[in-house]
Amino acid sequence: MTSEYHTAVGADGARGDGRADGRVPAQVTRALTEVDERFGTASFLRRTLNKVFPDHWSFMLGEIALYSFVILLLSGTFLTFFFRPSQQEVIYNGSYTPLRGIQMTEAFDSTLRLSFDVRGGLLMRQIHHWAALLFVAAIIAHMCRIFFTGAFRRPRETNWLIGFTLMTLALLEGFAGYSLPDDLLSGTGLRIAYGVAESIPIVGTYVAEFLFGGQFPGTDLIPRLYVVHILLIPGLLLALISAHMMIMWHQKHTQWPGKHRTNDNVVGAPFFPAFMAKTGGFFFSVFAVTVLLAAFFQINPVWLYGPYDPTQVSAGSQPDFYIGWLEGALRMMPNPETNIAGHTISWNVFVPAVLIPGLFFTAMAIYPALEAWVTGDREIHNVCDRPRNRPGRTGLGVMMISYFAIMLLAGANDLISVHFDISLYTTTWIFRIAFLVVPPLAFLVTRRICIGLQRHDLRTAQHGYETGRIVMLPHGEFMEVESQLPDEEVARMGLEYRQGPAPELPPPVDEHGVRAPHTRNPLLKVRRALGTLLYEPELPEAREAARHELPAHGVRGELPSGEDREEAEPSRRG
Amino acid sequence: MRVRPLRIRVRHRRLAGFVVLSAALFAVGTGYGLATEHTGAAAAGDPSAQIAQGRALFLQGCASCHGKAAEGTANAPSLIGVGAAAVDFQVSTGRMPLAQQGAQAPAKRPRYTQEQIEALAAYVASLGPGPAIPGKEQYTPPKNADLAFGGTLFRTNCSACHNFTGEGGALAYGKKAPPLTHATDRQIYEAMLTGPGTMPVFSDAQLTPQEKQDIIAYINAVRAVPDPGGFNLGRLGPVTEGLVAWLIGMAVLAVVAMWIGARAKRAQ
Amino acid sequence: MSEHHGLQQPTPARSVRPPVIERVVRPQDADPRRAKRAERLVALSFLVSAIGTAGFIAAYVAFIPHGPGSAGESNRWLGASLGVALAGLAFGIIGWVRWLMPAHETVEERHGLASPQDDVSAAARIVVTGVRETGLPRRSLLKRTLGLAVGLLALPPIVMLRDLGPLPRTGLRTTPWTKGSLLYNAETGRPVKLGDLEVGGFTTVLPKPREELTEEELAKSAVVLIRLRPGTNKPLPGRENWAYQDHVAYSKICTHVGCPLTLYEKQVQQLLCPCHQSTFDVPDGAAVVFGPAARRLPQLPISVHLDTGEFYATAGFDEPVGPSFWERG
Repeated sequence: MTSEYHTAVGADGARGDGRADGRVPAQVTRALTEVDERFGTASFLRRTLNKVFPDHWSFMLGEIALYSFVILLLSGTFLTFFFRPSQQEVIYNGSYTPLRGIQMTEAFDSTLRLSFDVRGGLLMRQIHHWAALLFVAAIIAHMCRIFFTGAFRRPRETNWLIGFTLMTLALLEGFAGYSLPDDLLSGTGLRIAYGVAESIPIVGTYVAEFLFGGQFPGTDLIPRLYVVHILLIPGLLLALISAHMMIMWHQKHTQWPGKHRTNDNVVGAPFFPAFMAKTGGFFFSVFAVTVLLAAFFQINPVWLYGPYDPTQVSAGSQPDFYIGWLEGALRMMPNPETNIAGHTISWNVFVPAVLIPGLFFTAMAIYPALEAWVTGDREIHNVCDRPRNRPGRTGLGVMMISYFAIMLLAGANDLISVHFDISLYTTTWIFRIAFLVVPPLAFLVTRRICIGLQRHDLRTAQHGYETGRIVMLPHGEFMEVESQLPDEEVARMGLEYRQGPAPELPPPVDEHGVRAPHTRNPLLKVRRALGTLLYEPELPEAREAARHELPAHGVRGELPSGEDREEAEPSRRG
Repeated sequence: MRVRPLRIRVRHRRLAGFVVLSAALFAVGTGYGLATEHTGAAAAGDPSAQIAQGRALFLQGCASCHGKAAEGTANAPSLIGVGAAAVDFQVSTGRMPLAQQGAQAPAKRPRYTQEQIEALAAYVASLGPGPAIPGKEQYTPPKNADLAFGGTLFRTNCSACHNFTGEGGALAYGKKAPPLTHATDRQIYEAMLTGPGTMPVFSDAQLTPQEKQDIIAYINAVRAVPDPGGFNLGRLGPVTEGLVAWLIGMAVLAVVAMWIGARAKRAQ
Repeated sequence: MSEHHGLQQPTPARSVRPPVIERVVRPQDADPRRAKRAERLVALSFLVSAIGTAGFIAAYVAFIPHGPGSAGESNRWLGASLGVALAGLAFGIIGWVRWLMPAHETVEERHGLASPQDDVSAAARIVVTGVRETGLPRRSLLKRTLGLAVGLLALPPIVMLRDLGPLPRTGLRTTPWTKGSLLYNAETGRPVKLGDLEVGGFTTVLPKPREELTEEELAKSAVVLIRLRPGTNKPLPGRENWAYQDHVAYSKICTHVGCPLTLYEKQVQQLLCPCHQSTFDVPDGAAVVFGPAARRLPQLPISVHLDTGEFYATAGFDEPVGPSFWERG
């Protein structure tokens, strides 16, 4: 390393710009050749190691989920060595005195033994549970990121569906795992699950009895849930995560708008070594956070809950947060039930616990197709939308989040009642009303905020920031000096990726007196109405103005060539 | 033995057995004119003088709501026949006297001294028969109390309102089941015996004194159990756990991700 | 669309790395002393990690859990040391890449995922030709029998699920309560007698001592026996003799989704389900006054043996207990 390189090389002396090839040691070539002659790996490596990954914190939310899954596999395997998935009744005789001498299932007994008499057992249990919460939380956060940036659009619709399936499986997996210790809290959850299954019209009793192997509680469920929890769903998760990653790898990651960034390139760090190190460091970060949570924050203290007994229950019985919204839906539902011709439908259970989740999840699954249908967008998109540039979609997302948030809060209404001194029934009514009122409001407010932010972007892109410095011009006029934005800042606004005004439709009735198709076909009418409501970029009065204000020059990352970088700056004043 | 201080004697007798302790305490206590905070039913001084003192206190602090003869008014129930245990519970936990009308009387710092409480209790007890203040031997769980059975009884009868670990919970109409975290053995015993507020009554025929002691032993044991997993998050279950997962777990990881993804610092 | 024509220019032909579009020079790139400092910090971090791992082994050997106290100690030390080991590694690696590895912005072209039109049409031709070679379009007999055979194969896995559980028969409608069942306290196993409950008392009772019930029977036969304030009970028509001296008995299993109703409020004489807060007005035939439950609690008619004073059921339940189901009627 000579001194003239100091300005051009990395701190370690590597240039990292492709010009520091240097000499390759013979051993490396030999080793690679040995492998390559057998598997033909060199071409693959050449492409793979140079793969460029864009850098942004929000692109790492999915990695949290991935690494939590790895942690779950590791800690879960340890737990299987000690946990006994059996509902055989035994008398507890372990080291936790307040429960000694009590009859309980082997599942609960082995969970206690694992927690109190196995070195690292409690730590592994807590790591497993914290990792499970982080797993689902990260999936949700990741899904929100994908949704709000439009990263589900063509060509990534399939990966959205796979991701959606992963999320659903994660919820089931979590609920199954939460139920395994057979404590009073999780047993109450299973009792509710049985009641929910019973509420399904026509097949409900069959579903319930087939799942539980007969009447509640039976002795089959824990062993069955165990196989589902440690084999069936993890296998599916593993397969689908692999597919998810391979598709992402093949399609290349989306990137935020910015200077030099286009729909046809990826700007960032190469996979080897920079991205590898970043993601490796992040893996250890996720692992460290999980372990430290497990070391210092108690989770699911089943010994305090006691063994399950169908005649017992506790105040404040809640499931983990990712099921909590279902609990809340059950709590705030009014109580209709019909009985027609000897057949009972308990809408009070079926609607909140089966129908609403079914509708919400279906809507999530088909959203990419729905948006594409309404907007008629068939383009390939590799650049992320800034949420503000898609006011309608962002509004919809916030609306959906508010639905789930209200249900989740309703699931904790007894704790809210106690700790915030609100009468119990009042909380129920607050949530009932909020469920109807808040989400539509959230949509409107979010949409309006997005439009405001868009306008703000547009203004700063054109006029720069206000500096607060007032100057007097020679002829006596006062004006404020505005500082221009650097090019990168403008490029990052992604103004050219804003939604254009909705396409003009032909007039409803043409000159021959024939009505246009979109006025007759009800489906097209719906599509048109949804398009206006959701995907119009601006409020109507501002649309016209926006059309003229849009910068007409290339803020889209035009690449400078060679040494002319400084001069190659596109003029923003057009 | 006769010249030994009272406290030692009490401990000695408790260890030896406590069948007649209450009576002995009463005799000794009268003789020495002593009344300590933990002697329970035994009260100082002349019973009729104590009742008179209680009546005076009652007229001063309670009669405005409960009526001059404790017959009850529109604002407060009659106290005839509620017994001394109910008075001791309500006043020693500070629930009575009430600061203001509300859905239920909140626990606060007791307004009266133990001696005054006993006088009040004696007065109310004189109005009609009701559960007496339990003696220490009645409410103190023995060393060999059946913890596990107490736990089972607790989960069947108590946890629906007071939660698994006695952290309390919500009731209808703005009421709440209070946390048991600071309740004394005697207060828990009296609560079961008298059913304060909206709490059901657990008579001695339904839960024998021994079973009540088992429950108290379990509550004490669970309160004393160290939380092996770390900070217990209020022992409130999955709700606080979910909050921690998001507000600590996800937040810390987001900060780390921001560090990883941040723009590198440029020289100059 | 594509405006990246200048891409290859800044990099020499013999480069094997992705082209750099922005050369980033950090302070430590310009100043070897800063780089050295960063290196030392990274190394220190790795060292801390190694110490953490050693601490983990030491904690594993030192702390033997037996009960909550020692398990807690073990958990704290094991977790803290492992956490340090992992956090040290994480900090070191991230610091290494952020401070020492080159931070240049590189770029990679996205080659369209779509194959050349030539390949598409060739693939389509291959598919069509191949299908013709099978003869399926012409040989409809083959097509139909194959469809039948494969379609039928989907059935065995479904049929095999049949034995997952029994067909629902009378289990949801019956309980062990029959005429003459004594009311056994659920925990103590003592038959409940008149006078056991004070006014405002309640208790959970079973038709038999707990040991004689299966878990399934236990789950549906729990009943709450409540002693109301004198004269407050308003029996439903036809149920005038179902209560005994202000004592009433109702199924403890909520008619919503089946949680046990253990939350009894003496003042308002209501039973509240702690799971979903369905509230039942006990003196009014356990009618629903709030919450998601739709039906009253099933009532158990009770009386008292005059000789022993023990409560007994004068009949079993006249309706299914617990949540609603399709065939309930």
